[in-house]
Amino acid sequence: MDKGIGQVADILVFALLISIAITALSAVVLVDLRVEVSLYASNLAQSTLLSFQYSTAEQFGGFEYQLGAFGFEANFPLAMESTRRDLRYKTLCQLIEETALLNLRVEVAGVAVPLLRPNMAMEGCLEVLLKRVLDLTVGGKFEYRLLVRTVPVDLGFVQLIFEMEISKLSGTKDQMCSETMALSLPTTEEELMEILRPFKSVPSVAFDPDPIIEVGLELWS
Amino acid sequence: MNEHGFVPFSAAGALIVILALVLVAQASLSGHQRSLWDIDDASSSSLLTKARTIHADLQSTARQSVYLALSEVGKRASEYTNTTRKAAIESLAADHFAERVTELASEYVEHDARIDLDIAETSPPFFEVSESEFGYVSTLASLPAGSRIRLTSWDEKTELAITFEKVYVFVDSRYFLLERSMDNFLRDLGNINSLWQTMEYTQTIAAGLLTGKVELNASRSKALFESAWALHELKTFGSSDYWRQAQRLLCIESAGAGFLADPMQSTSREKIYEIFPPVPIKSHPGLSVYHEIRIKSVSYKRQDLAGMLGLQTATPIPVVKTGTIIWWAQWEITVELCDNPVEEIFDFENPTLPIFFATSYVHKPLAYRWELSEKKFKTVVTAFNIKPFSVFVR
Repeated sequence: MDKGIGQVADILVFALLISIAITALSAVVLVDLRVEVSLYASNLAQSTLLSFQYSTAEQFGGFEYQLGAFGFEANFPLAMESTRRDLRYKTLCQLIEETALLNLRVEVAGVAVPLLRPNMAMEGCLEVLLKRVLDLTVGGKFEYRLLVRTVPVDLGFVQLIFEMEISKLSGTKDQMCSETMALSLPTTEEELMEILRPFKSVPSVAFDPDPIIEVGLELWS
Repeated sequence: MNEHGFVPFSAAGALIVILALVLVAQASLSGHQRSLWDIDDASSSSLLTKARTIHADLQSTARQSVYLALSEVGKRASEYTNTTRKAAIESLAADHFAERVTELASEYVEHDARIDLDIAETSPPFFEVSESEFGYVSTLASLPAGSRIRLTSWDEKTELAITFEKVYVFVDSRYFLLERSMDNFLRDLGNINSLWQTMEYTQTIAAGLLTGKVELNASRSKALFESAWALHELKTFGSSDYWRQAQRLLCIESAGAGFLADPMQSTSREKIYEIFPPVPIKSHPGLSVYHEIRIKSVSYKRQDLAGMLGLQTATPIPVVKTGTIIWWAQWEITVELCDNPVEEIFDFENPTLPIFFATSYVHKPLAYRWELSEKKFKTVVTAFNIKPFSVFVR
């Protein structure tokens, strides 16, 4: 009888020890897997940003927008054609740079100044295009957030700014990686001053513009 | 059933746990080592990606420099020959690029201390533009030997340098098509006189010879000259300045409707065309046309004998063999312009140049503007009839 109890206890201890061994081993495997995924995500994000530099809009179905006629809606066919802007040969990065350039917003004391924005449609069309591209490249594997931001002029009380966010996120997720690239805004100090002139916000002394656009891609899982 | 195992289960379990712990320790150690390698690898990969994106951004800057150069030179195309014009584009693009790259070098560093844009200053950058398919522009930007993008990892363990000496850029603007089309227009400028002569002659036959009275009308000659110009544009560019033509045909100017008479002064009209180019009449090659022709005077000079003597009647020519008389009249029509005419074409299909306009940026098509040197255009009309007729100026 004692011998039987001893054997049962022996088996129970054995089972407990096996469980401990399995738990210890599986923890190592799980940690390893997460590092792998994170590295993969990082590489994917980098490749995606790099592909923006070399892929043209034409490869993703083209890109065109309608130029607003400076406050007038041009609805008749001839005018529609004259205001159509077909930019199919531009790379995705070029489109990001030019959308930022053509849609710079003026903010005075943190409040956006309402302006006539003839190129407003370009921003919307770019969002649609980039979403299509991101869905194709990373969308099947990860959720994502693309952030585009530039502040070429920051005079404290007045700013020239462009921001865009495209995301596909649902619920609480873990951020796997965040990769950034820098693009440059094709502009000059003189032209930036001309944009500010109507707001009587041109500084009397020379200022140092910062025409770098930061493009960040976060992947979430 | 009195048999015993080799060792008790608990002893075997303990052994397995010890083995598992050894494995975990081993895996952790190698995992740590691999993580270090992965970090190094990721760091190198990240640096390489960064270097490539900067390279591509500089390509983009080169493209923007060519856009600006094309835009500036295209607006003054008639000031150059084909050779000097290309040289001017290359030189301007190189200047814009050199200026921009110097600024960018410091701006990159401000945003990311790992970046060092090392552009050798032994010689200025050199741009070479050439024709690509369908008249688009290809550019090869050459930087001084030794120019490179250098990046250093945060821990300064990894350093990467990629050369930036030759950069190929495609420019989505059909500069060479515009140049060739304008060359054709200018080469065949004589066609305007031929077309104008044909139209004047047709008018003479239709309205004059049948009634015996040929009326030389300055307004009509003006309209016919402008129509001949438009037809030559249509034949060469596949379109014409039909907005201007329509405006003329509606006789807005002569109607005295002040507010409509010149709704778009030439300068502002031209600027509107730059942003809203008229749709080409023919889809191929897809060019929009603007012209500025302001006629100062139309004059007629009779060249047949009776006319030279100041008579309205045509000159009689007796045909001895048949005993009949053929009536002959000939006159030269001269249209004199106020200023040198301007002919401008736009790459309607490619409104791709982000150019500053007024207080904002817009995408404009590339313009190619030509100021012609000719201010006088002449044609000669000859008319014969078997019946007498007179020619008079109204």
